[in-house]
Amino acid sequence: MNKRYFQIGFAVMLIAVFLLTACSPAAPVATEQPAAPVVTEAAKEMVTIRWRTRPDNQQEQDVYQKISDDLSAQLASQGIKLQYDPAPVTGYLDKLTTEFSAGNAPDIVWIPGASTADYSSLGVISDLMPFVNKDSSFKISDYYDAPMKELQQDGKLWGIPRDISTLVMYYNKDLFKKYGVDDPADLAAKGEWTCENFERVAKELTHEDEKIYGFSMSNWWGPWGWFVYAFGGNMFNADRTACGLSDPASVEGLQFMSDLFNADKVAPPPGIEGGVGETEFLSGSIAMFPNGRWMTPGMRENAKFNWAVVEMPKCAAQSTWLFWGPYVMNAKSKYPDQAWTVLKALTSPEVQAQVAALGTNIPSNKAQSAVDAFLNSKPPEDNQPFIAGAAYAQAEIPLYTGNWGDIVSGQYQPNIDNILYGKATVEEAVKAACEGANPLFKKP
Amino acid sequence: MTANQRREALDGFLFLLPNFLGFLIFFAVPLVVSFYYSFTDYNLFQPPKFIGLQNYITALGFNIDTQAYQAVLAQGGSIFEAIKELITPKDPTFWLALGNTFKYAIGVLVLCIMPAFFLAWLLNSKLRGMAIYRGMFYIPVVASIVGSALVWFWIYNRDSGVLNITLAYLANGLTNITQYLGFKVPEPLIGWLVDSDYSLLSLVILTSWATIGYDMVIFLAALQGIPRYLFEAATVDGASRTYSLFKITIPMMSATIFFVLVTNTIAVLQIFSEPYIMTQGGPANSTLTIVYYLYQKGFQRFQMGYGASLAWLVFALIFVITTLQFRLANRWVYEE
Repeated sequence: MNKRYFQIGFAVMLIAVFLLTACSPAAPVATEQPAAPVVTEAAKEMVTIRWRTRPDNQQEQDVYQKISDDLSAQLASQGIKLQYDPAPVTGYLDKLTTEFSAGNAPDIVWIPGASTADYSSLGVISDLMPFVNKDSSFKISDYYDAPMKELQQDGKLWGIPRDISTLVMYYNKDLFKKYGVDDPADLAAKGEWTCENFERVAKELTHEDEKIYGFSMSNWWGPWGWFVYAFGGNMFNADRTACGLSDPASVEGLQFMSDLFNADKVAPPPGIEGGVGETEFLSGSIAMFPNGRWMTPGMRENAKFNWAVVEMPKCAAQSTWLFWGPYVMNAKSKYPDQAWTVLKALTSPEVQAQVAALGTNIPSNKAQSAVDAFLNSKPPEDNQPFIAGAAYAQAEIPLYTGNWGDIVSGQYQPNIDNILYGKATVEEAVKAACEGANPLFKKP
Repeated sequence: MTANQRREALDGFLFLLPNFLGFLIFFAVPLVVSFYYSFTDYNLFQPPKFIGLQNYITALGFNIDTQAYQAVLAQGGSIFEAIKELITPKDPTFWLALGNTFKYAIGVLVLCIMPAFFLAWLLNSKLRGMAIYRGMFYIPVVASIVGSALVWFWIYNRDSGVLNITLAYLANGLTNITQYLGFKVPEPLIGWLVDSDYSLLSLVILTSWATIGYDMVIFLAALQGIPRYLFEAATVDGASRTYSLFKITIPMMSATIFFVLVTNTIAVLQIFSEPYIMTQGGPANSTLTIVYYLYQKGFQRFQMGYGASLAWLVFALIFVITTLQFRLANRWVYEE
């Protein structure tokens, strides 16, 4: 009998262990926790605001952790404690989506600008306009206009940009010197940094026998989209309810890009996102490579050559991208008022200056103190091109009129691939892209 | 049933319970729920709305456009071009992904099963150090696909990859001969992962490399299970080694070949990790497989209902193919 009780007891224990471990609750969205130092009545009412960014490296993560700790100390008097919850680059949005779905996403999260529309249309992030309207200390005008405009939809405000980055041309100064080619910064100073001269120097720098190429780029919408806007085109029509790639100016821009790869052969085929092009540029076999500020830390660490940045060349139009990513508030946050206080603090000039000093991000807040911290983060010696482009840049587009993944990743990108690898003419590719994409836009 | 038997039965069920609960919570319930979701517009965040067969119709259905058909004919196009415009799939990407998956599966089955069999045949000898060789060929099976992918990224690099460098070396070697004939063999500069003509093949090679060791071990075990007296009798009768291979080895191993064929087919039709890590389905959707597509739809584009319907279509496809394989097995599989 004892044996039998033992068996039953053992089985019940196994079940209990199994259930308790497998079904243990996930981390709470925001929980009341006692303050660490002194347990007082006030401390018992502390609320924890969990927040998240996507740090690229440990150094960046450490800075965010310090910011979190500092703000925790500052906001303790208001009963707020911060819990920094970083997530890795790989699968960042997949993890976040799952957490939103499960109801345990952080109170405040950073997301890429283009994802804002997806999350707002799904109702998982809060409209911040009511908080702005009742908070006289916060001014929308303190931030760059373009991202703030993109973040607003029908009177709602979906987030506050954490940072911005323009697209600039990184270049290998040693290769320019080796082949005696005009330095882009000198050309820019003379107002001669045009698409014609960009193409010319790319040709002069290309020495296929030595596997040296004048230009390369990663293959995602940022770099190829630049060619579209630089010739006066647009990825979408005016009200973003249809494909804009078949617009003659867009076609002209894409043709210029195609020629660099297929006719002039000044560029090897680009790899997948963040892939082959960037690696080859770092290895010293590519002379010019367009990218955002996020590439700077990697350049500082890995580039074994002298390098600099210059604004993107002027083609039919002077253009660049203004990439941005906002902090958004979880619509299910239990403590929205406290979350707003934290969100405001995270986008303040003081905090942005700390992050900007790392060199990874350009502050989204226009306050001079934050901008100065960024400009002093060297190399590159001259950080001005990152800031200068903001004046005329096309802001990264959250597509409120359709699913970005279905339209841009699903229809545009495969056809752009065909242009880059010479598998289709520009006309064929944009026809296929627009025919595939147009039915996917929400019509007004 | 006696009281003792009842007690024993109860004990048995209690011991089964943890595993059964695990099966229920992590497999059976999600399975049933995903079947329900496949008939809804579930987007992960809002309550699912029942939409009947709409997801399946979107995946499998076709649009008929008679105007486009007439327009092509009016412009002097051929009847084939006109039909192409007349009938268009509602979701062309689904068919593209399905086609890629089939190409992938055929490639891996060819590049994996036959070489694995040959390898097992070679390694089934009693030479010194054979265990080391067997271990070496099995290493890719235990290696993580993420780690392997990093190595293969380098192997496949267009400009500095070891594969293109080797091919260039061979081309130069051939040129040493052909130069007397007045022409050079061009150095291949293949964008293995970035050119849509080669990207799927590159992943097929990687998957085959990662799987071949496992199949080899299965074949090796089966080879060693063939009674020696059959070969001895054949030798006495004057059969050559090749004749023995086709008349004894292969027939005696047909059940094992069938097992490897079925399990490999099931696995490769669900291929996901390789395109996810190496190419993200690109370039130009050339490596977009059906499971990667359903992942994109479900998790990246918030169309979980549609993603669930694709998952069930993949299940149906695998079920049909496996059933077919079992039906055809009677014709070639020998069982004692």
